[in-house]
Amino acid sequence: MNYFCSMFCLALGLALLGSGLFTAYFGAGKSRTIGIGLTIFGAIFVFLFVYLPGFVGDATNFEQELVKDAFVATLGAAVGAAIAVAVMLGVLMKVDTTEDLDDLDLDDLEDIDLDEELKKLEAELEAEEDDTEADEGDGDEEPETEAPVDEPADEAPAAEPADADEEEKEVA
Amino acid sequence: MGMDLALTFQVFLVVALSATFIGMGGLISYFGTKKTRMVGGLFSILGLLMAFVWYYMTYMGDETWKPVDMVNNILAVIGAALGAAVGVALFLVAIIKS
Repeated sequence: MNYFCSMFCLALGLALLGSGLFTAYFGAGKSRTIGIGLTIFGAIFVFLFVYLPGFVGDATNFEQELVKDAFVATLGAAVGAAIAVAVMLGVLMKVDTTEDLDDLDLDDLEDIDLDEELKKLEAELEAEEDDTEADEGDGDEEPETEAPVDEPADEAPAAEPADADEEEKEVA
Repeated sequence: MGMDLALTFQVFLVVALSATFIGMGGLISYFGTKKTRMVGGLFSILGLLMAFVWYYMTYMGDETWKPVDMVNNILAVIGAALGAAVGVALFLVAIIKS
């Protein structure tokens, strides 16, 4: 209880405080309001961490010595993990790992002619544009007056001009 | 900083170094190739050596690190990690929902 809850409060408070301040500073409008809210919640949790063990005030919910021990352990673990990550990244960046790239199968990529691929894509796009223009042209030419006057327009069969059929055959 | 706190700091520095080296070294040696895999293996071995240092200092020799309460302090570290994760999650939810 002393260890887990105190550290949970502290970490939650610091995370909310940090993210809230960041949002309040860089955000605008609604985001800034949310940032201020997060900052207030974070400050409350940090205050709980300070207040409950009696670092401030007379509360004795947690034992100060145990909370100090937990804090030092967490600090040590954080520092240790940071050192380990820094050492690993440093070594990995110093070691020449370019030979490892030979294992990647890059032959397929080298064979691709980008100009040809680009031309193909452009041709496909042009064909699609022609199709859409042809469809729109069919819609404009569709005579509404050809439907029988007595029948509603929904039931009238769509009369397509002969040109449209020919165009579709050409496209196909 | 009292003697016990200094011990606690030392112990958790070494334990975190060991755990990080073993974990990340394992990942690197699993997903890496050639030299990278070799470097990952070396880091894993280094992590195991540090774990042995912790074991030696705690249970062998003069048992210098024996007084450190491992279980409760590991709970504290887990609590801190959980608190930070919850804080970041709350922040993301608040931003995404707005």
